[in-house]
Amino acid sequence: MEPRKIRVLIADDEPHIRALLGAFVVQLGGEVVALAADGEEALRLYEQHRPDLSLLDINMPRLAGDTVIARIMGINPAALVVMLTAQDSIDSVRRCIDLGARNYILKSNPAEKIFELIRDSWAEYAAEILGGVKE
Amino acid sequence: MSGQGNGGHAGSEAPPKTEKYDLERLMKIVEEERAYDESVKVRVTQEDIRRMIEKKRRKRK
Repeated sequence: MEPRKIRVLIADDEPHIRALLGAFVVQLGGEVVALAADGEEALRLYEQHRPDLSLLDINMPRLAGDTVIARIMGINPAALVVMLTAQDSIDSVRRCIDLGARNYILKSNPAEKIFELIRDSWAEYAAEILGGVKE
Repeated sequence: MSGQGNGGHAGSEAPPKTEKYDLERLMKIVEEERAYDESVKVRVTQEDIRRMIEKKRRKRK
């Protein structure tokens, strides 16, 4: 039987970033279950799909990513959320890590580096998700 | 913006020149403070973030 794929939500207001992240997820063996272009949509799709992993931008229309992660953690404190953003202030990083973000990836990194950062944590996420630790 | 405290000027009466200069000075101060805030905002690298996450993980254990 084929192993279950990690189900991923991608939220970013830039279509090319959504496409890039989607390609990374597929390359890593995951499945993109939802794509959101703003924070409200991200929250709605999270509740609808309950993805294993959420990749969230911070600067999104309607609802900022740090508010979205706070709401997601309120819904599911064990949620796996990775922030992917251009925000490089220490306050923003601290806030998101304190809210429960597992990683915080700067968009200023080259695409290959972003892929590496997601890939390096993928096995750990897979063990957690498929090992049944998660809710 | 508040705190200029000289009261309003009714009708079409032009404000005294000194008040115009005060406003310019105030705008300059605001601009300088904004530039200072930007300059002291601590920016992080991916390596700084990795260390912060590692530290957070160790605390959780």
